Amino acid sequence: MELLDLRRLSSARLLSYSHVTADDAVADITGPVLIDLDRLEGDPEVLDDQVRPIGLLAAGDADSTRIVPFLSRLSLIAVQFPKFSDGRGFSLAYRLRRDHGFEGDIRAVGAVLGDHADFLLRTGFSSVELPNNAAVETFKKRLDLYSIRYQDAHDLRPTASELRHGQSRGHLAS
Amino acid sequence: MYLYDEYDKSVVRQRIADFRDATERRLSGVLSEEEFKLVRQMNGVYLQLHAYMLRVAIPYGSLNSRQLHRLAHIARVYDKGYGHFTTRQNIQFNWPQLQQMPDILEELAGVDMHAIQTSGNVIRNITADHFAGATADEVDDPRPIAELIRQWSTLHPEFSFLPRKFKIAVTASAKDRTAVKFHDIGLVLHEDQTSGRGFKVYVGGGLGRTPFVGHKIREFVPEAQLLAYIEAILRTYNELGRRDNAFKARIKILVHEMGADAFGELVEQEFSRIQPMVDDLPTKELERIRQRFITPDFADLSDTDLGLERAKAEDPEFKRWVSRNCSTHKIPGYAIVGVSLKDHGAIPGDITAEAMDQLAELGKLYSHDEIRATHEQNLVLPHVKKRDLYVVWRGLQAAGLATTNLGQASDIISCPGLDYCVLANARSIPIAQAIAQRFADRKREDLVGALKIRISGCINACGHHHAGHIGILGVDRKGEEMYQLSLGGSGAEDAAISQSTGRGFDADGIVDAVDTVVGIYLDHRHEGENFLEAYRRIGPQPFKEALYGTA
Ligand code: SF4
Repeated sequence: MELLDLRRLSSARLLSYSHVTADDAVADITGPVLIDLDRLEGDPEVLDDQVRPIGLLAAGDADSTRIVPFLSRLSLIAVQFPKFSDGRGFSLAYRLRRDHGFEGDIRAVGAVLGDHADFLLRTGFSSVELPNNAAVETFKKRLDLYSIRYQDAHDLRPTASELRHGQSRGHLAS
Repeated sequence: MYLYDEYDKSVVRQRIADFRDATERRLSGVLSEEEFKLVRQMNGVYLQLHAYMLRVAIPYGSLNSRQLHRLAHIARVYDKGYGHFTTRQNIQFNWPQLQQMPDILEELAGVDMHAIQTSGNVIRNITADHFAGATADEVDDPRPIAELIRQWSTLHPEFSFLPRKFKIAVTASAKDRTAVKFHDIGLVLHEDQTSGRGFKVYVGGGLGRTPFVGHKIREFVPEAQLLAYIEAILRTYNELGRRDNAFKARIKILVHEMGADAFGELVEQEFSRIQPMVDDLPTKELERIRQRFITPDFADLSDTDLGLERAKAEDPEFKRWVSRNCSTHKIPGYAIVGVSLKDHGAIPGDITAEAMDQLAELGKLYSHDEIRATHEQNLVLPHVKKRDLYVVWRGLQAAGLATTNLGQASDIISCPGLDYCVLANARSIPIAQAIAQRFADRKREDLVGALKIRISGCINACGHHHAGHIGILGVDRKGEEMYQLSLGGSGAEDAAISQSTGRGFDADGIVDAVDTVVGIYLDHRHEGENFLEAYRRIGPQPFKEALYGTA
């Protein structure tokens, strides 16, 4: 698996997380860990006394309010795309940024394609996990393909209407 | 007509570059059909029974003469010399080669057109009243709002992988020509003393296998907040719409299953989160778009044109055409000209490249360079001076476009059916042709008056049979093509879903059955009553008895 930072177009500053399954003992694993939402809800004590980075693995259809209680402890939320045609993850990321002000890493995992690249960045994703280097290259290329966008989003670049009216909204992106 | 600026042009060009690249990779075998599907769908390319098909967007049905000439050119060079207007104010080309698709898209971009989002689970082409800007019964021209929504919905980062396709219609008139209540979102612009200008919002309407009339979830959304309100609807739908079953994935099912009130409540909650962030940019944008719409420079004319009156008196054929095909314009001395693509026995919505060129010329010379596509698969010259009507009629005759049947029995909406569509159970075009032939006797057609017949080749209902006064649905019964009849539907402001009469008919039988039903109407109607009104008064029973006997 390869990681790509969607804003810096590299993997240099990204952390790799070890996925903890339902019955793994967290203490046995070293380094950053990625814990399922169900496990976290059932066993919130796993967060106690942890000083290392903790990531949460959420399905794209997870209700963002379920994640809220843990937000302050999380440095990563990995949003799982079950199928490339399932666009719920975009709304989830958007909500995590907008409604809950999450400033950590939001990572797209699962069935992500180059066609998603620009949309991921704009809905608030900051990184993506891809199967191989070729996919990373496709992603980089596709992030640059569209210079004009009509919608305001978590976006570093201005929208068409901002350009037209010479007005900057100050972007939602951190 | 909205004029693209450099930003609009860039969006379209960049999309084509992307698509060209993907097409080349598909043709060289790097991409599988499955992988290519996503890209081609975003660009309006379908895989049909015989070939790839390209569906070109005609936002809110508006065209200028250059654009129509270009469509004619595409039909001639890349297709078999004709195009097919759809029920969503789009045009389809059924025969281009895949390797030519990027070139066709370039041709379109040259006249500010595209095929973006005419396919796939995205927000589709925004439709609007085809009389927009011409009719006296509207609050304002709804097209600038439709353009605002078009831009907002184009390549939307959050709403490009919806559970299912999503259709939005806008009208500004109490008289509905857009089937607004049969859309995922239907918007009706209205104005009142206290609140000013805003939209009624309907959600969850639709045809297809489970038809629903849309529910009104808001009486008034101020113009400035419309995009925010639509965003709230889309976000709610994107999160909660069913993804387990494609047949249950439209928003209408979500609204139906949770109830319109509960759905509306969720939308309000989401809207209340977005609303504080709404700034003045959408309003400025709308103003800018309004300025980039070319509004015709209408002449100051008397409403009565003596030449027109004389021509009508001298030529009964012309008089009949004027009374059937022309509608009242908001400006004195002008008329809205309807152009039928339903010549008796022709394929509904089909038009040759030559006819497109001729119509484009007429539009340029006599209709302030505007031509419109309607959702009933016809065309419109929206701004014709009454004094020019006779010349225009002559021109239409020469183009084979003067068929005098708008709104009548032979003005049938039909889906492509088994002749083109992979999903079809039965042919629909030959049935439409046979019924139209049955009414080729104009005395009878005139006697019957307004009648909306709609035909779909399968339960997906692309021919809108549920919204027809008379609806016909093709079904497959043990390998045989059969047709079910339903009555009493309406796609207008009094939207209703037609009800099945019972047992189906074979291909010949269905044409006779339509005849029988029309006969019952003629027997029972009161003075001035149209088919739908009579049906609503007397109910289905007399029709069923005539069709099946009294059992
Ligand atoms: S109604 Fe059925 S047959 Fe007709 S176009 Fe739609 S899917 Fe095809």
